[in-house]
Amino acid sequence: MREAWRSFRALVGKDLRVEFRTRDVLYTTGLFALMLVVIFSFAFLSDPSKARDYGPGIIWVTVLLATTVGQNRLFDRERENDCLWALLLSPVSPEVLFLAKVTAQLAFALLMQVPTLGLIVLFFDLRVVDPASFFGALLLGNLALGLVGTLFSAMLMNSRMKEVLLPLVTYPLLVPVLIAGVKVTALALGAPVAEDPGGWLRFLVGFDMIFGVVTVLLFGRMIRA
Amino acid sequence: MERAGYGLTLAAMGAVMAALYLVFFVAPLEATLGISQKIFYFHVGSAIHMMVAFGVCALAGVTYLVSIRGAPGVADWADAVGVATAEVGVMLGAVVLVTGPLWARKAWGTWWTWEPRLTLSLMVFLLFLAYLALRSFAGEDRFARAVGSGLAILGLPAIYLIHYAVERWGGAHPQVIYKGGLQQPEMRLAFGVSVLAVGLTAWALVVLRMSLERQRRDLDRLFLEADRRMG
Amino acid sequence: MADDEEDRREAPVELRCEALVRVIGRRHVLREVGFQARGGEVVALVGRNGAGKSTLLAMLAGRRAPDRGRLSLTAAGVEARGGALRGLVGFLPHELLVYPDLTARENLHFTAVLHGVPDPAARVAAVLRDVGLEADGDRLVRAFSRGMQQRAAIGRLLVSGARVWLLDEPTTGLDEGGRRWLLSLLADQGRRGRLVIFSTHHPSEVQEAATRVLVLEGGRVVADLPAGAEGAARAFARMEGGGA
Repeated sequence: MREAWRSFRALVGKDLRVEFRTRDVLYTTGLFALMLVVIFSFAFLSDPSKARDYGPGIIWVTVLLATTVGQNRLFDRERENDCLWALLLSPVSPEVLFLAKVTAQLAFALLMQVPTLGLIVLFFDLRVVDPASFFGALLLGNLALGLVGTLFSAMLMNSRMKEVLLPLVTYPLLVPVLIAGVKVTALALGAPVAEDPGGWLRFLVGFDMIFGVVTVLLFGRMIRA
Repeated sequence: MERAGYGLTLAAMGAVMAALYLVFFVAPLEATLGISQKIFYFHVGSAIHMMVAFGVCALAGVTYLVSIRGAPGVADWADAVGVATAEVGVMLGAVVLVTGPLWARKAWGTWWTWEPRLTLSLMVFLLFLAYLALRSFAGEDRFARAVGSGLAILGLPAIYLIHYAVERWGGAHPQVIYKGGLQQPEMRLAFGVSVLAVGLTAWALVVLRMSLERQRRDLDRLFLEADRRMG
Repeated sequence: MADDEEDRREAPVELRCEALVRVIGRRHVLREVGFQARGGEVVALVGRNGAGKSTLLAMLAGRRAPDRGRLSLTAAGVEARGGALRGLVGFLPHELLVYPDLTARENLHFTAVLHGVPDPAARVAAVLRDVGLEADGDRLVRAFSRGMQQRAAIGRLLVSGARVWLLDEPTTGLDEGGRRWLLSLLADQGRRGRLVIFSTHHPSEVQEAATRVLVLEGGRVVADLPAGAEGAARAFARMEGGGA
């Protein structure tokens, strides 16, 4: 167990170190997210009074698209020089490897999203009335995106067309997250609906738990095949 | 296996004939919807068997991943089941998604509504399409098959959660009445036979598709054997 | 080297391949390859391009599963599985397996931690010295020449403490001095009781480092000879004559 924890820390540390040294993923996905926000502003802001209706959807579409772009790059570094095989040949179990990748990708995604979300709130003049649910939903949603996206990003690492295949494969699985995320965000931004965000947050927790267990098991199984 | 496929095909042909006869000549016209209600007989059958095909595809995925190392024969078989059910599932999904809006237009006055069952059918259809895209673009090796299996397996909880979410999401909207009403016994008979006919057709196709896959593998084996003897 | 004592405590390894078959599409890449090798041997794998050398090495490394046949590795008479097995085998294919955006030291330190090496910093410093990268340890691997990258990659094998070394044409990109250094390192690893299997196209390399030579042709082992001047010559003669 202590071994696993040490390997986990080394793996996450390695990814963070490489990323902060090159900043490829953070810069490109961050800029991409910024472009999305600008484009959405032009596309939807003809009627500023509707901003609150569009806000949650724009937040989640931005998160989803930018995260996918980042996830496509997630295993590029392991592919260069075939480094993933060094990891798979080390005594580290595939499960630890997977969780470390999910953690690193989650860190990148959240770092990229902080300025993006700030901009959306600013551009669309949104007011976060329930910050706990707002950030809770984003955290839980990002974890779900991370689990599913990391799994398939690893599996599709060497396939041609992976850029298109990744969203094609992950989005149908992530629809529940999107539904729940948009709901909670709308409530957190003060949608005039009498509904408790707690139910949807619990739903997200459930999704993360089910998919956490299944993706970890699948990763090990699929790698061994 | 071909023999079972042909048997099923014959049975399916008979059942489809019987269903058509019952639907159009025995079951009475529905009072408010008229002739359009007859879509329902095939629509529901396709939807039911699409869901079953999806479940079978996911089970085949589990079987594949469990047996890949220990029992390659079982794994090959499970993989054939997975491909066959996914392809037939896409066909059934297409039927559901074409007949659904046709019916909806008449019954509810709109082509599409995000009604839970319709949404669910669409998502299952999309998952099947993603599975097939994965299979055709991610390569032919064991690994690509394992990834496909993984997608089918994850699809199962995803579909359950989508169903739950859409139902909650749509909670504020008035629930549409789905059942067209099968008051007369003739209608119920026609309905039962239709579901059976669609099912026999679908599973005959699955079995035939599987035997195709097996023949392809036999052919590969023969080429390999030739290669082994010559090399 | 600092780890002489540790080496003496290492249990002997034995690799056993039985009728390994690898198929790609409708063709055989490996046709019932069978051989045994044990710690202390340095096996050279020779054969023309496409003979199956790289495939065989990748399979021994667990990177490609055999389509048929059996592969087992025993340490101290016990068959290794799972994480223990993975820790025993070190693999150096053409693609080096080092991170270009980390320094040599960071790469080796990372490997050391994953392999549970006690006191990683000291071990890494010692290995950097052994592979001749002492002065360049804190430069990014990306900035290295191919030969230096090769040295870093070999450092990775040393740090991991792998008992079975599998190397695919390891002298590629090394200058004459580097080549000699690597061959003597491989021979030394053999003397320390490790099992080394490497592929090569040069008779001189077989002669300098190997204790045994396997000739692969069309996916089969067609000759299994003791190395040395005569064995190397016979192996390469066999290889050239076999195709006519």
